[in-house]
Amino acid sequence: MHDLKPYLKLLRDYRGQLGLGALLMLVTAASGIGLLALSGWFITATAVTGALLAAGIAATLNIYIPGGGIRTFAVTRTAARYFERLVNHDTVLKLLRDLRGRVFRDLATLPAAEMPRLRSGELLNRLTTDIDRLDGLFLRGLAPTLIAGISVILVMLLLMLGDLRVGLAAGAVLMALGMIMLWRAWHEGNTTTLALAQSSAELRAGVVDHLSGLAELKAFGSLQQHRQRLLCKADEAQRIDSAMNARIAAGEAIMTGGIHLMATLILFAALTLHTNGAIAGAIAVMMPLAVMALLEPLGVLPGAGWHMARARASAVRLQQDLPTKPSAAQHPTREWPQTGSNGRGAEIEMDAVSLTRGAGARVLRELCLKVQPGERLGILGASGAGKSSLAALISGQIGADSGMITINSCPVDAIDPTSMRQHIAYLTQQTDLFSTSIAGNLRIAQPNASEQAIREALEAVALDEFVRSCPAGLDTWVGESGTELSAGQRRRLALARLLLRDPSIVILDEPFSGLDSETAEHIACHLQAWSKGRTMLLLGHDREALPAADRWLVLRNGQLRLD
Amino acid sequence: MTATQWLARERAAVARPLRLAALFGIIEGLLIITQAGLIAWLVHQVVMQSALLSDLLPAAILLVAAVIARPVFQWLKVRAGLTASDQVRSGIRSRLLQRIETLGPGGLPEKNRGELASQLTDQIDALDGYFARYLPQMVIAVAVPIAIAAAAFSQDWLAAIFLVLAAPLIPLFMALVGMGAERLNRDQFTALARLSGQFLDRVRGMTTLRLFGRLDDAANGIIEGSDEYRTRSMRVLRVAFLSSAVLEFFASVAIAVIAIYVGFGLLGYIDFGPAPALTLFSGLFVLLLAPEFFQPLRTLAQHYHDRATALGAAELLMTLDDGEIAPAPEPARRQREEAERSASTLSIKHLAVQRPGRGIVLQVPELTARAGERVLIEGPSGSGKTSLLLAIADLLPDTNNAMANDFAGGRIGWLGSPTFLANASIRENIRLGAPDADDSEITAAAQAAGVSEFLDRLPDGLDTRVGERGLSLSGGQAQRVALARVLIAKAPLVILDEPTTALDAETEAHVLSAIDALASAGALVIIASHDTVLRDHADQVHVIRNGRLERTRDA
Repeated sequence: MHDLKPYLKLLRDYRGQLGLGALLMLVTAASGIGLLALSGWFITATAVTGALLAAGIAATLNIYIPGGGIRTFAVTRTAARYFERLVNHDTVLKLLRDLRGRVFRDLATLPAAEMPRLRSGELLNRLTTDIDRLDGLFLRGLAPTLIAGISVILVMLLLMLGDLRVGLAAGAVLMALGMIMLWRAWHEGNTTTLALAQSSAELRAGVVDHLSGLAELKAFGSLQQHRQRLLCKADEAQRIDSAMNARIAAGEAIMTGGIHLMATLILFAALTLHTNGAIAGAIAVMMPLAVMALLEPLGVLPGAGWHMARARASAVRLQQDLPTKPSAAQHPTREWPQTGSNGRGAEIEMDAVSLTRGAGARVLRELCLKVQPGERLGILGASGAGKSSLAALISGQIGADSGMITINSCPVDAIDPTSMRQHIAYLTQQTDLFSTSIAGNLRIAQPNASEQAIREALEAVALDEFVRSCPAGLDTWVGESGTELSAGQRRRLALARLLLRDPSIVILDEPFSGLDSETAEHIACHLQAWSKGRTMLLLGHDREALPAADRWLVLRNGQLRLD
Repeated sequence: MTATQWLARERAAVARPLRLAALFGIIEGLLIITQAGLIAWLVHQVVMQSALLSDLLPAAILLVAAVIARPVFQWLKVRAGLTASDQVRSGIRSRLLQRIETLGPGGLPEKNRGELASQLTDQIDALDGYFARYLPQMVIAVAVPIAIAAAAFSQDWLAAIFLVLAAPLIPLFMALVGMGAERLNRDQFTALARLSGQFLDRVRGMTTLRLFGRLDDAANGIIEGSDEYRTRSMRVLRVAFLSSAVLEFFASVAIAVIAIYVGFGLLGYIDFGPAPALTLFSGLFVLLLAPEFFQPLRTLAQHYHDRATALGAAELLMTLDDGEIAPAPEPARRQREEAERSASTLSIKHLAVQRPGRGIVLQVPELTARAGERVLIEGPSGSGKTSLLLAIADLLPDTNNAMANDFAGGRIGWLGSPTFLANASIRENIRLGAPDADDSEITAAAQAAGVSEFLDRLPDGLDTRVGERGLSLSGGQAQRVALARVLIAKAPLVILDEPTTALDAETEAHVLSAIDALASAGALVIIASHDTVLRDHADQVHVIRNGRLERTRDA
């Protein structure tokens, strides 16, 4: 249960609303029990009194209090249920909102080196479902369990009105039954949810493969084989899912059987007590009916156990995927070091910088580099040579293992990140577009960019014509991850984004990938003008695929050499 | 066809388990009546007639038996429902897969893979509740209340009328509420999908957001979006909860009314109708039946959202499923004979390459190529190079008969862009090129494509799992695996889409030498690229200009 602690803490912010929700749940359950128990008592009492009256024996029965009670219970049960649902769902959705925000902020504190892992679709899918599932924790797990416990105590008290021992025994048995069923569900849930998550992730991955590899699979004639394997995965996922549902159903059936069996035994005991003259007939009828009314609050316990197990599994996964504690490193505060009077460009210096990645693979070893203000430096290297790491180091995304990186003689790790971001424009190798309009995607770089500036940037990347051809123009929606655009168009949009900024240092990582040479030339021309006076780093594996540079270096074996 | 009709067709396929589920539910209902009757009778005998419980043993035993049998049928009902849902879902899944396969990679316009993948997983699973619970409950919710009303009627017709009067109001009200709820539910579905999409791409693009200093804005955007979703959801839920509140209200009020009516009748305060004849037995029996009368309807109301969910899913699934059963799966591509291979030609005359939803994307006046040739197709990005490759590979639907393709139906070596790696081991990924290849062939292909060079750096060598669920390979490494897949296929026709984009020099060298090797082994190699390096490795070069393919030179 301690895996759930952070989320239980989150619940604390909504104590009031959660308490109200639980109270309304209790009123609902208590009214249900009261309605059935009181009705049973009432008609038995009237039957007995009626029989006495019919026999000519004087007898009285106050019919107004129980009659009123029955009506009140009928109304409170309905009203309490309605408001309970509204209140609780509202709370849960608020929790969900907070949780999403929190998870996103936690992800934002992850070191940049973790980012590639985050891009994986499966992790993301997992994140969303896990967040959604945590909402079952209170609404379907904790609250019903609490209410079930209180309901059993209420019924036990009612039973004790008839007979102390019967009440205590029944209360103990019902409590034990409830706990066993809850524990069973929780226990089974803990094992099955894991298998279920695994199998559905396998299935999803298989489906994505089948769709994205459709051309390959068809061309190679491997389609049938792959489909067969996929359907096997689907069957497996479905089998586990059905098994889980069947087990929940079995739990619920056992619960129904158990409660009714208990009610029957109470009936027998109460009738015997009545025959012995220990209790009135009305009480004898009230007792089993009260137990039968427990079916509603107790019947959900098997489900509650599963929901809690599922929430726990989600919590565990979220903790694996997220950092336990955001790095408490000192927040650098230095302002961006301004250069002298010689233009906008900044000087970059790297001295004996080493960087190790993953399982001890040395990416950079004792690397030295000096870039003059306003210089355009091209760095060539094979994929995986460490170009992107170099860019990440200079832009302060990651830290070096040893060595010194300075900008205008100021260590990079001392510069305030906000200030740093304003002065460095870095086009990553990966194009990130967001599901919003074209203008919206550009304004990520410059929230208050004018339409004129946006149009100019689009013209610089030769997208102006395309945008004009779209009916919605600048407001054209770039679908989920911008998939409605071609790879080249996406790249160009990312480049346009950069042009809206006014940085001192520009880093372009394979800026023209996916572009034909004509377009690339057009953009290079505009880049040339825009980047005048700025320090520029061009990363790629080929001079031809990059804009012109003043100097070319090659990154090989973790060191830079002249080309 | 509407979503309702589509669901009805699916329903017919699982009529048997659905009927079984309903039958078990009805038996459960009859057991409930038996249980109520026996309890009332025992109470009446002991309390009113002063009988001894020990003299009523047969009835007591029968009661225990009914109480034990009831959960058994309850469980059987759920099981049968699950079977129905299982059968339907796996049926739809394999049918839609086939449908997507026949549409082919070029035939799925404006759909991104994520959305399609979700249709094949989440949307199909969204049908579960409808088949497993809602449909059986539809029958039960009609049959069981009728049986209960009949039992109540046999005891006291007036009490039965209280029940029956409330009953017709329920479906009426549910229908009214349901109509609104359905639309709301659908909106809800879209809202949730958009919300997840928004969250996902903010996470995916986190590096960029960080570089532009927009992380806080993005976090606030996510919270705002979630809050909007909450407001929207609460709107839907208020309506949904109202419908079940009405049902609860009827159920509670009916119990209260019957309790008071029976009580007053037993006291002799009511002297019309059947009231004077009331006994504790009949009164208690009717009282116990009252909540059970409404229970099946309440359960149905709880599952009502399953119907709305299923209709929403059905509408999405229908767009993919045109109702016809897809044609039989195409036969596995065969391996051609060596002799046949060398004589093959591809000849295209006046081909208009069409993409569904995009119209004609490219005109090909003429293209003739023979086995053993290397054909390079150049053109700016987005000019239709990939479409032409798909047409040549016979992967576009409705390609007009402007193509005489000796290679059609044979195995094709395909290297797509972006490189496709399945979520499987490297070995499995290579084997996709030739499903029947043995291990030594795989090792040889891995060697030839330069995969072996980085294998010893991987934890499990060839068996290392790659893709999203495994190790992520660099672009060059992935391309080598894909190249090994092409090599092992030994296909007479090899199609390479942008094979050298964003590659390191060594991988590029592997690709270039593979192109030459494949051609000299007698395969026709068709390459689409705007990389000029490839010109030295081509026998024919064609360029796409203004939507037309033009031949520029022969080697």
